[in-house]
Amino acid sequence: MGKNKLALHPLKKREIKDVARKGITYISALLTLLLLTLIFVHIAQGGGSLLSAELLTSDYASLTYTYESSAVSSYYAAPSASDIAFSSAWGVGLKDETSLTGESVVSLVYLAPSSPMGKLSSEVKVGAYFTKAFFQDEAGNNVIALAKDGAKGVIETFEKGKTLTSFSITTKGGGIRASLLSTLLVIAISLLLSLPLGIGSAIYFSYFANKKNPLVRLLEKMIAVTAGIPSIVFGLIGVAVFIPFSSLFTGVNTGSLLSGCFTLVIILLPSIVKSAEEALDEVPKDYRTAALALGSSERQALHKIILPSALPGLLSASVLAAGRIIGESAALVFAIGNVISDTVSLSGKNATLAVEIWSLLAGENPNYRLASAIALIILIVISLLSLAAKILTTVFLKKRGHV
Amino acid sequence: MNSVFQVEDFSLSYGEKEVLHHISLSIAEHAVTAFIGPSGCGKSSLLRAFNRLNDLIPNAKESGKILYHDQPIQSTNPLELRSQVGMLFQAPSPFPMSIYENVAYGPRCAGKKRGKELDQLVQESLTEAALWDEVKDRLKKSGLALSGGQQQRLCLARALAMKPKVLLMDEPTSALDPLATEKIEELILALKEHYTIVIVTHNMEQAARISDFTAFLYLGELAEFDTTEKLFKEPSNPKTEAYLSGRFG
Amino acid sequence: MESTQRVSFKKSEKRTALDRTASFAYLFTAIIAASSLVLIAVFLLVKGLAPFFKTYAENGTTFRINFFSFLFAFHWYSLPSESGIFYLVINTLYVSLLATLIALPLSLYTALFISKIAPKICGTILEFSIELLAAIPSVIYGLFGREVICPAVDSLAQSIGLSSKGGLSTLSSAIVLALMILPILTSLSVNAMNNVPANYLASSLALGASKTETYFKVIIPSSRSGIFAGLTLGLGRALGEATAVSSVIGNAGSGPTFDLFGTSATLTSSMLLGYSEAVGANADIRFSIGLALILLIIAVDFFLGLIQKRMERRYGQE
Repeated sequence: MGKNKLALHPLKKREIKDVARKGITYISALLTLLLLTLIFVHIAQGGGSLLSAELLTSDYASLTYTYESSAVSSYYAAPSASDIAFSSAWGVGLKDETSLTGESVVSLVYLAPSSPMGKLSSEVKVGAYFTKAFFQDEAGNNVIALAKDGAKGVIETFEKGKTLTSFSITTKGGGIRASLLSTLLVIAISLLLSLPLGIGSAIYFSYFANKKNPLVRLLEKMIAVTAGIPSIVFGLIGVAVFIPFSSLFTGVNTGSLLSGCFTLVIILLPSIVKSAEEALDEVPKDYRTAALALGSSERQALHKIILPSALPGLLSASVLAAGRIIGESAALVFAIGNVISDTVSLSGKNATLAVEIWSLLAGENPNYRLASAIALIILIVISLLSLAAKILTTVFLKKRGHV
Repeated sequence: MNSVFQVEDFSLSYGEKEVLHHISLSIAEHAVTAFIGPSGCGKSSLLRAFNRLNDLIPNAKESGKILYHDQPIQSTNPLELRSQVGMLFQAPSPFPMSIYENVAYGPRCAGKKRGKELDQLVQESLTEAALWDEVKDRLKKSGLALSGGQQQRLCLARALAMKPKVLLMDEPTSALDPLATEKIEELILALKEHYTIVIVTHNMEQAARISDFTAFLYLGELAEFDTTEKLFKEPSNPKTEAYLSGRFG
Repeated sequence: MESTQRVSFKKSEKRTALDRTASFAYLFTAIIAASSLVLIAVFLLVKGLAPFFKTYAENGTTFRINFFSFLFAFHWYSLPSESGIFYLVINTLYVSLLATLIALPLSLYTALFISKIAPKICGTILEFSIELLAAIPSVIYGLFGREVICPAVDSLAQSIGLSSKGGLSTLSSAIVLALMILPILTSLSVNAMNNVPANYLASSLALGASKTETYFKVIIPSSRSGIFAGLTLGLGRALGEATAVSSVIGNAGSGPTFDLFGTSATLTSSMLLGYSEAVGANADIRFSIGLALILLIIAVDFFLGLIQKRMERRYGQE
């Protein structure tokens, strides 16, 4: 570098070094922010287009339905959209599209309000994929419209048909209703089981225990060590312990949502205990002394004064625990399974949202769009939860007069 | 006697609060000048003005001039100023590094990197601070493993390694036991042969013991400045007299 | 912190049955919480060692899993009797250490920025961003790695004339892991830097150093123990990370892989690979890998603890 050849005043050299050093810290910080933005933006781009109420409420499986009919053709006005193939005899608009899995499909994009197709079933709706239809033409011959004819070809056949014999459509599928429901169920039950245990332990350590007692310290150490265990190992324990255990309740010998919940309980315990303990330690010791001096017992002081006072902090700990559950994947692959079925029950092996993402990635043809859509949902929920936890802690500390 | 620092009508305020009002004095070379006075009256603030450490405080405002060898220090590069004006603090704060690295810190920043030269500098500084014999076998050990008095002498060695012309000391012995205090005071008397020393102390007996000149600061103003002998024997300002006789602290 | 104060009245008067039940109930929850560790230890040990003592009858052959080839073989075939974890252990350490190496400078400099250089608002925004990054689940890092990091690594490989399997590689895994360690390392470093005594800055400036020089030569070294704690936690997380790594590593059947652009496999990725369809010996062996993983983490923690003690002796505590 040229700089070495110039005999710079040593002070100037130091100043240049300082600027470079400071620059590095600015760049580092910027990179960190950039990273966060990149992750969010990329996921939003990848899956945002898929986000809809339909995604959240429909089934994953793509099912084909066939309906018998004897409807006759009539006349229906064409819709204003110009790029769809429209059958004026039946009031149906079709379009060639590519499904999420990359196949070419003929999608039902318009249905006239009084079209006989629409009256067949609620499943015949905009968004469904046309499969096939049997008609009889004016001369009484059978004509068949098949999806592989393409939208235009199908409509041509439609226009020839005078009477409809049968009509088949295939649902879009790719919905995450089941995974969503499974996740919510798992969160609810896991929190129900782990929060009392975790907060109870925290109460013991913060309020009742004598910290100088080596047994107490041993208990604390044991919980602290559990915090460092990778979640996949908890998954193994789920298989070894909780699957047999929960078969007592569910009657099945395989992974189930219930065994997943139990596994999550031991995963969550250390962090719940830690944050609940912090929340309890924030409550001034004077509250307890004052309550006792007024004649109440330790338990009354705890339930009537200390716990209500620590409530925001405890809520914050719960919110964080919920966030952790949503994101847990490795353990649940083992403890529940990764079946993407559309029936949800405690004994089912439904994949939760996070597990579904992993499952989609692990296959041969990863469905990146769906994975990103699910990831987006998770990211949004987690951001909201983190924000909520932060607000709760700030409210909490403000009450103490700390902020 | 030459004056090293010349303070001309110097005032300092932190935000709205004025802590030093229109101070004028001069610091003599190769002598010990003490700042005494009740706590909170600006002694430390004045001391820190000499090496521009007040620059650290965001809402500090200065007016007036301080000249170092006839150069206003406001327009001098602070890094250069501080390489000539060293400082010792009240609470000894050696860095969590080895003794050697502590003493070598300043010179290394200033660009001295050569091994043998640095070794010699470290030895000289530790010797001047009367610490060499005690630590020469454990230079690589942590500086925090020393006693309080030794830590303060380590900080002194650290400051001396920069080969300054002036040493500012902000209550250097108030955290030390009497034996360690005595050692530091002996050092100060020895050092004044080669250095100019300004010391802030809340212990007026200490000022009487070791300083040649004394400035008595009261509520941010220079109440009196004279040779130590004169100020202690025949103070001209009644406030000085009151302070010295212990009527207020 | 002061010890919990206990105002003790005559206990017999004030403590009713309800009080005693309550305090016992809380103790009980604590015992249950702590005993999960015992549960884990026992079952992992038992289930992890069991496959070596069982005779399996599968696919028309009976076999036993050889303990020594499990420990020392360099490949992982679909026949568990011929698979070994040695190369997995090396890969796991290699990828995790690489990740820590990548994350460390970035974390340190960002932490310095937050702690000392940035104006308060910037610092708060950054700290919240880091909290968000820490909260992002591992699968999503895996997804991000697959969609963004892998193609980038692939392009990098091609631009220097090498090939990679679509970017599924050691380097991708190391980068993804580094991203995941970043938040922990940064926030612990920020804490450590904030706790450096205030007069270090003044002392350093008084010796003629500039602020920035002080940050790099005094503040960072003084934060050593907090930074090291972050490193320990981060390395532990990297060693145990499963879903993110398995999405980007390529699941090589043999190794060890030191080639940055080659596919690899770790202990955790092998545990996950094909688990859903695994039965019999193939499924059981996952426990043994899990046992090996825990032993590895214990060994690494022990080793790091030794280093920390040596550091404390040399430099002293702050």
